[in-house]
Amino acid sequence: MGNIDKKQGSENGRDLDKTAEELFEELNCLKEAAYNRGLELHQTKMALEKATSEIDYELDLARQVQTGLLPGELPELINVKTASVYIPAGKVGGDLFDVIVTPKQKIAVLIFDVSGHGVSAALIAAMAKMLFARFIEKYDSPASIFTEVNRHLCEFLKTDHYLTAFLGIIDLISNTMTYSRAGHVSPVVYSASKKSVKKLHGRGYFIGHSALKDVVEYKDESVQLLSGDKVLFYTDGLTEGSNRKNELYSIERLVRAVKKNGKKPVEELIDSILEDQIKFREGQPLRDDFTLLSIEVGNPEKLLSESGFKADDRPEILMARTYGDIDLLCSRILRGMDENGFTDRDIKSTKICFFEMLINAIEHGNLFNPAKHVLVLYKITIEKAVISVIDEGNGFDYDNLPHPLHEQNLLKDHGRGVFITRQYMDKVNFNSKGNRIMVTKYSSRGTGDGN
Amino acid sequence: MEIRIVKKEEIDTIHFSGQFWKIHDLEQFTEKANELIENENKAVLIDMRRLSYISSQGLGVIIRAFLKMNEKKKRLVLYKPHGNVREMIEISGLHKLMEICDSDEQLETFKTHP
Repeated sequence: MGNIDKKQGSENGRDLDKTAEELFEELNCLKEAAYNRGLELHQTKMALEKATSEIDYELDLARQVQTGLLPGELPELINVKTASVYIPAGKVGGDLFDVIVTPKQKIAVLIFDVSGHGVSAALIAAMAKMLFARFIEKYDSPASIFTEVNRHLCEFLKTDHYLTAFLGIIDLISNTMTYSRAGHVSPVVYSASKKSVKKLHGRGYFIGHSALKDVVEYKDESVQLLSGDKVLFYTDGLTEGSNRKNELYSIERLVRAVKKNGKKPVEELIDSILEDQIKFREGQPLRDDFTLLSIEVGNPEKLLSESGFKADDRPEILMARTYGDIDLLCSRILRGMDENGFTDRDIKSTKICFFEMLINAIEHGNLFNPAKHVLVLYKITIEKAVISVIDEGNGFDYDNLPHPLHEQNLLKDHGRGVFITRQYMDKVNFNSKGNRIMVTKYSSRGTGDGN
Repeated sequence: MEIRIVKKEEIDTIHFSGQFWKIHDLEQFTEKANELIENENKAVLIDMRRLSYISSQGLGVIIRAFLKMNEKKKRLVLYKPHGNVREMIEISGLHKLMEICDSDEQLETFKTHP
């Protein structure tokens, strides 16, 4: 506009005409430019929308992947009940938890929280999960497992990320939980008998922070649980949930809520805690992933009495569901016999019988149902190997089995398993129901028996 | 477990290799044995030299095959079962009813007079 004024001031009428032409041209240029800018803006907007929807799609996929890393249906373990709830703050998050049956048939409960949110935290959580699984398979001590995971994470975590973690490993026979706490919020234990709640302490550094690489130390602690006791594991998304006055839910409110609801079954207990925290927040959004997991321990006496062992025997436990598990279980037992000096002969005989017992348990006891378990409890000493196999079936009439060596049975194509077991094992007995067989093989060494 | 069939004139041979107890292997053997039973042969030889383990169910399916062969007046012979496998057969009393061939001379005789 300023230019027009200048032109009018210095020229005569002929220049005004030129000015009008120029103005039209300028206007047209401006129109064209505006149109082009508009087009560019529209294209940029389309590109941005496309990119955002691609990111959203990727995040949705990432969320699906992460959901796969969470325990889907927590394993229906004999003697331990579990329930959980997980609400990520964004599409993906840095919290993960798991309940794993270790090679020694102990129950490992793991929960951890990666610092920060979003995709980077989720990526680190996935890597950490793999590392934890690997070392839980290998070691019995939570502190050792943390040490190894920390060492490996520090090697490739180049950012300032770290994670807090809690790992508890429960022995099903003694009901003791050995645990280590790496800077994680304290789990709480509800005592069924005393109806009281206590926090689990224990010192330990964060995991994965490269600055702490050389100073980290983790410690094993243990707590004796009784039948019916519950343990609650969670991340700070629960305790740091805040209300309109910016007060935090805090561990104190959690303890109160657990004390009030502790006698409920684990699913209802979890729901009650979640409800309580939601009510407290008065509509304020979650700022961090919400993770809450509860377990209830059972009565080892029940497990033991069915097996024929006593608590003092301290038997080891193995579980099978399909034929595919037989080889692995068998190798554990045979290795134990080898380590205790049994002869090759004893070991081979035991292998034959163990296969027959498991095949019978899976086929005739559990009717090949993979949801049903075969429990194997065993104790091997230098003197003898005692093995107990329990299935979830209704038993059978073991006193009235047709004798395979009777003429009419010789060429029957079934019915030899128990007979063969009786030929090789020194003692064979059944529980009255018939769904548990217990065998004893005395070591030939030291008895002078060369056969 | 590996099951390999070799057909030669009047004798078909089933070669076992490994452990014989898994359901899939039992089914596979039964299928193949049934085929061979219908064949134009006079005898079936089961080569057990490389069989390291057999369950009582494994014995069961072999017995079934043996009975079917008998019906057709054919012979089923177990060749060189050893170790645990041998023991299982003897403990079950089957060595009294089924033919076991332990030596190479016996095998030659068998081959020439199936």
